[in-house]
Parts: sequence; C-alpha cells; structure tokens
Amino acid sequence: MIRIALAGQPNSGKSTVFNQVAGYRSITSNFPGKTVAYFISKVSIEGEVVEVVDLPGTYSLTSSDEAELEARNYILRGEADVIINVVDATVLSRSLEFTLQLMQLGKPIVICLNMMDEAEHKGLQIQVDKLSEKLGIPIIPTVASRGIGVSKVFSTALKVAKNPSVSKPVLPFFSSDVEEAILSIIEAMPEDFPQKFKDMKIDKRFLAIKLLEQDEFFWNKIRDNRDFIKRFKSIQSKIEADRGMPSDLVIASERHAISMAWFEETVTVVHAEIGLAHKMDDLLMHPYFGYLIAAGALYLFFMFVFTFGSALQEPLLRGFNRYIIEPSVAYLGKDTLTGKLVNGLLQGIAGGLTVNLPYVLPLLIGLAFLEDTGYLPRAAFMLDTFMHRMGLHGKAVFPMLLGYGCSVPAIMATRIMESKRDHAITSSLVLLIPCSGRTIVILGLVGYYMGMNAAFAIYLLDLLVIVIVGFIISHLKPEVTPGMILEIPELRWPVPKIMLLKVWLRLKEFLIVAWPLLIISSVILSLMDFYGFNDVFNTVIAPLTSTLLGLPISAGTPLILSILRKELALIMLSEALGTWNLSDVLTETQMFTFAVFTTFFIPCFTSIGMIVKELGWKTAVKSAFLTLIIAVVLATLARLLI
Amino acid sequence: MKIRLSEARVGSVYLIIEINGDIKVRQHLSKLGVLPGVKVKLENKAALGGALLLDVEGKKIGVERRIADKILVGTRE
Repeated sequence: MIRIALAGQPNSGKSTVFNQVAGYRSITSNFPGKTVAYFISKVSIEGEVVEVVDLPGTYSLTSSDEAELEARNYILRGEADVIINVVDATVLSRSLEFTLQLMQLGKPIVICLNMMDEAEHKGLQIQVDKLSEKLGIPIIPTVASRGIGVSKVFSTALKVAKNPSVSKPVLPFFSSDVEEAILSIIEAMPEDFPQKFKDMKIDKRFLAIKLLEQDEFFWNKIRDNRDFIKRFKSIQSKIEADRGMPSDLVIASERHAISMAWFEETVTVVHAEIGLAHKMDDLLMHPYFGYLIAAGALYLFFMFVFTFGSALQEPLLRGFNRYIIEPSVAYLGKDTLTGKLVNGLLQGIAGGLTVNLPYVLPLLIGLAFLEDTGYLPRAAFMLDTFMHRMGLHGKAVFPMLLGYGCSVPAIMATRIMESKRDHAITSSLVLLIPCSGRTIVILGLVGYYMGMNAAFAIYLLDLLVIVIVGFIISHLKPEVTPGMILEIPELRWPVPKIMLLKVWLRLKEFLIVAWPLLIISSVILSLMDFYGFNDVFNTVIAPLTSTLLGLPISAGTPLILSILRKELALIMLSEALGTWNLSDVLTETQMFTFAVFTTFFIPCFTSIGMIVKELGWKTAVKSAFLTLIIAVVLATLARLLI
Repeated sequence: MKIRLSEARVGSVYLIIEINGDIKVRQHLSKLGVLPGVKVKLENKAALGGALLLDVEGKKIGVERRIADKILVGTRE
C-alpha cells in the first residue's frame, strides 16, 4: 500500500489537512517504544486506498527533541513513499527552511502551500509556479480550513508516489566556504560511515552536514572513531573561526539565507496592512493590561466549565440514579452479589457519564477555542513570569489549567514540556490541582455546609501549596532547561468544524483510557463492600482516620479508597456514615479536614496510571507519595487549626 | 555596541550579533529564525520581569527573560 507522510511546522495547519481527509477514522499511534504520538489513517484517493501518517509538527529536523528525531528517522527509514510538506504561506521564508531540510532526506515531496487566503490579506503575492520550478517540487495552493485544494494535494501525492520523477527536489548549494568544509569532511570520512546507520538511507554529504549541526543522534554513533573526530574538529574550528559563530549556527544561517533568497525571488509584498488582529495583540500582550486580560480569560474559562458542568451533573446524576440504578438494584436485591456487582458497574458508567463528561466536554471545547484563536500561547507568554516562581515556564499553564477539569487529560497534556525534568515536575503539580471530582467534595461538603468562603479558602490554599511545592522541587532539581521560546501565531477566528474534530479526538482518548478504568474501579469497590472488606480496611487505617485526623472510623474507606472513584468520595462518605445530611454526623472541623485530605491526596488511580504511561513507574510512585505526605500534613494542621 | 536583548528599548529594531548559551538554546532559537545577522524588533516587554515579545521577519516570538539575556544585539548603524 502507498504510504504518504504529512510533515510541517507547528501551526502550519498540518492537522487540519489531515483531518480533512482522515476525518473520524484516524487512530493515534506511538512511535515504537516512544511516547511521541502520531495519527495514522487509511484514506481513499481516487478510488485507491492509501495510508496517511501525520508526523508530529516540528520546526526543524534536528534531534533537539524526541518528536523531531522520530519524525526525521521515520522519513530516513524510507517508510513513506512520498512526503506532503504543509507550509504556512504567511511565514513562507521560515517554512522553506524546514522544506530545505526535508529535501535533504532524499524523498519525493509535494508542497501543500496552506493559508493562501491569509497570505493574500497580508499582502503577499506568491508566484507559485516559479517557486515550484526553483525547488523542483510540485506546489498546490490551499486553504485547508475551508477544504480548498486539499484533494488536489493528495491526488498529486498519489501521482508522485507512482512516478517519483515528477518531484525531483533541486538541492541548492551552501556558500563556497561551507561547501569546502563539507567536502573536506567527506574526504576524511571512513568508507563504512553511512552504514553505521543500518536501516537508514543516508549519504556522506548528509552526514557531514548533520555533524556540523552537532546533531547528537549522528554524533553519538561515530564518536568512537578518534582519528576522524580529530580531523573533523580541525575543519569545524576553522569554519567557526572564519564565521565567528558555532558551526550549528553557520548551517542554520546558510539555510536561512537560501530560504530568504527563494522568498525574495518569488514573492512580492504589496502592502502590509495593520489589521485588527495586530491592534488586538497590542492589548492582549500589553505589559500591564495583558495580565488583567489573562486573569479575566482564565476566570471566564472556569465559569464556562463550571456553569455548564454543574448545571448538567445534578440532573443527570439524579435521573440516572432514579431511573436506572435504583430500579435495577431493587430488582436484583440490594445485598446480593449480583445486585452489588450491577450497582458497581452502573455507578461506574454513571460516574463517567454524569460526573466527568459534563466537565470534560466544556473544558475541551473551551481549550480548543483558546487554542484555535491563538490565545493560549499569548496566555503562556503573559503568565511565564509566574510559572517561573515555580521553576517552570509559561507553557506549563496549559496542563495545569486542564487539571482543574480532569487530571487524566491534564497529564496527557504535560507532553508539551520539552525537557523530561519539566515534564515530571508539571505532572507532579497537576496531581495537586483540584479536579472536578475533588471539586465536588470541596463544593458539596465545605461549600454547602460551611459557606462559599470556606470552599474558596481551600482553593487558595491549594494554589499556595502548588507554588511552594513547585518552588521546592525545582530547586532540588536545578537542571538547565531550554526555557520558554514560543512562537505566537496570528490571532484567527476558529473554524467550528475543525475545533469540534479536535475536541472529539481528545474526548475519545478520555473515553477509551479513563472511563473503563473508572468502571473497573467501581466494580472492585462493590466487591470489597460485599465481602465486608471495608470494615477490615477501616480498622487498619483507623490510626490515620481517627487518631491523627479526628474523623469517624467509618470515614476511612471514602477517605482513601475514593482514589478508585474520586467523584464518588462524597457519596461514599454519605453511605459510610449512613446519612445524606452530613452536618448531623460531622463537625465543621471534620468536614474541612476531610476535604483538605481529599484535595491533596492522589486524584485517582487512573491519573497515576497515566503518569506511569508517560514517565514511568518511578516518577509515578514518587508523585503519589508526595501527595500522601502533603495530604496528611495539611489535613492534620486543618484539624488542629480550624 | 553590543547589548543584551533584555536591555534593549521597546519599539526599536536591532541586529542580532551573537547568541550565547548551549546548543539546545541555539537550536531552539535558530529554528524560529532567531539567528546572528537577522533583524529583530523588540515589540513588548511584559511587566514584573515577564517575557519579551519579538518580531523576527514578521513573525512573533515570545522568549523568557533568561533567554533574552543570551541574545546580544547591536543597533543598526
């Protein structure tokens, strides 16, 4: 089967192009053994079924991060027959630098010149045929968000796959001094060098350029050849001295110059109008007002999620209980094994449907809106300075925000942090953010019986703890990270269809991963209840529940085992204490203590499972242990002070 | 005269002369077009020690202050 790979820089509209052809049938895959994910889909083009692979969006093809390395190696292994390079026409010269790197990989390419409408608005007149001729690559202008030109891109790609001579990239030369250096490196290279990269098709020139770029991946494989290294170093230091910059920047500058030349020869700028978007940006990223707007945007975002969530949750949960769970359980018998099992199963289904979904859905919609308008990177830009107080940077805002909805997608989102250290710290902090399940305890217990101010105090305490913990962990692990370097794309009006597709793909991840775990956990809880395990458990942890925290002994199960079903913690508590009016059996101190513990302790079993998947066992166990310590200390303090 | 980009004046255009820092930082910046010999306009500096907004050949790029310290620029002429 013919395989087409989609490659392009972030924000180039690559995923939009992919979604236009792949639609709902796409599946996420991971590169073998890696956490880098890509989408793959079977697509019918002119009656022929082909496979389309959506490589991760990357700015370059160096090996500075895992996504780039995997995308590049995928192409180098020759797994794709043709590459569709999605290019953002509004930033053509920079995008061509990426194209130039793709051309070096020696595969036939088709360029999808996207966002042509916006380029026109910006006053860019691109002579497509002339550019195509210069590069030796077919170029199809598109407006992917409206589907214009997309099918032509794929039919051209199919043509190229069958007859590669249609796309013969013309590789330009670098300046003469750089070419000389490359030639000397090639001469110094032992014959067997390219063969060191077994399954990859690369030549000596490509390898020489990569070594000048100080590409770790290639460097590591040849570093034991001392003789060559010595000769390489002398060539490298000569060009570095001549150019007055490190060799990797020499290559980057060369690419930049070539792309600029292409750009200048084929594009005329008619008028650069200062549009509304530009004026809005002056306000959105204003040195002072920018902070107010960011705070306002976050507030609106929360209001949207919580208004929607709480409005739906109550009636849904009640309806589900009254019309499905109660009749089924009554029919099967409340205390029989079948009754308990069915109850656990239904409660699990109901939990996902009535408690998680009403929050997760508006959260994903709100997030997609902020993302597609381009406000999220602006928020990251403004909030960077605050995130630095926690030893992180602006990008960590995204996963942390998601954490207020559900920890599971939030931990998935921590992938955007480039360094492993930032990735791990952000995940640990996400666990401390009150997710919707814990929000139910905070609002339903503390808020309902003690007033909204008390509930608000827990949120403030939580924020304070996150800042302090972040500060401490990041100082214990003072690794130098690349820090925040963030492209801020143009503000644009989101296309509803594309936004909803994005929501659906993420929702699917939640439905497939989290929901089943929730149902299983719920069934386990029922079984424990049936076999009287709860009483044993309560007795075992009585020292914590009763002695230390001053709670009723029967509160042990909802306190600890609610990690199987956090959003049920309140219901579990009511059932354990045998009443729905909790103020009859609990003092305000006890309520507050219970809520504080629940807020800081592991959000749920599923979230820890996600950390194992993303970062491995060690990080997961450490993070879980951290939440336990914080929960015990703060809940004890709450008991003593409130 | 070389100055740090973090000390530059908002609204002015500068020429990037040197990028310090390790290869990770250099790679990260160069792939967004922040390279020696390229013009950069400092659009905006967020208050409270926040990030800097750059305009590099018509594209907007946000960098944190620590990174801006590593970019040395000179005024054009």
